[in-house]
Amino acid sequence: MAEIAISSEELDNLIEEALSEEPFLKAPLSLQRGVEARVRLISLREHEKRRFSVSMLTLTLLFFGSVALSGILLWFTNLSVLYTDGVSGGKGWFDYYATAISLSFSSYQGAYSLVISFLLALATLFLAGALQIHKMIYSD
Amino acid sequence: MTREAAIRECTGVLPDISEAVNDIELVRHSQSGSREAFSELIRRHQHLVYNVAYRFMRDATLAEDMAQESFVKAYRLLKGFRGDCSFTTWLYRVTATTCLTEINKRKRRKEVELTPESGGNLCSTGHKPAERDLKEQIRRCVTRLSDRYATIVTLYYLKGTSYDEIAQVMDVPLGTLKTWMFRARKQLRFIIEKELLNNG
Repeated sequence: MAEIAISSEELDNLIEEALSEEPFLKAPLSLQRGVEARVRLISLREHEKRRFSVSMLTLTLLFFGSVALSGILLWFTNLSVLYTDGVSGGKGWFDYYATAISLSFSSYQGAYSLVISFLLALATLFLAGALQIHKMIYSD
Repeated sequence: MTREAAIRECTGVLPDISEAVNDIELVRHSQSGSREAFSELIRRHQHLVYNVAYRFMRDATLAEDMAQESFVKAYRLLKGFRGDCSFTTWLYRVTATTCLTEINKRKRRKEVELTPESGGNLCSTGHKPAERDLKEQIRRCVTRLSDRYATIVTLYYLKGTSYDEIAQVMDVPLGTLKTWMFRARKQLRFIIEKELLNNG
């Protein structure tokens, strides 16, 4: 205490002086940029979370909707009975085409492959387009 | 000198047309998802938040981290801001809480002693007080006060913060705040005296 032999009053003054004279600092330039970048990330994350929830909800509803619809259709239309007994000659008509296709499949393989490839390509394009539209709906 | 004047003096920022929009309007826009409005709020309050953080952390890098953390926390909590008090008061509260949480976390991990300038602890440096900036040592001692005392002393000496505003930040009546202030000064004097004796 040799160098700082100060009275209580002097100490009080010193404390008051030290605290009230503390300079007001300028915030670094990187502060605002840093916060803005983090805020942007947060809002993107929230947006993605929302989009994911909406997608999942839509898919779930679609799935259960299709199952329910199929159930209702089967229940009310009784398709299997209609197919076997309800349409006269229905079974025979189906058998005719099934047998014809199975017999001719080997000779028309190329043509069927072409049709299937074409259908697959169409389905791919349709899916890609649907996904793109889906993204656009839920993006900013 | 008012707080705004102090900020302008420090930053050289002059009021412009955007100042015409008040904080509450900006908060409302931010609550509806406008990032631009929040950026404007950051621009307006960054110096204050940084200074509050610096006074708690006593380290420029940590202060910047804490200021960032406070703004991010404010952004997350903004939806719950109902406008019962001014945005500045609310932001003080968020910043003080963020800094104190970090300080307590560091105390629990015993990291407080690791600040390069402090040596043994926030006040004792291993050098004689006269050799160091005594005023800076006194300022460092504020961080050794209990949480609420450190908060009120920090806010009180930040230019332009009134007792009323501090009472709002702390959510206590004015009389209680004055009692706390008295006790905080007494506790601070005790800490400083002890440190001076240890180092003397």
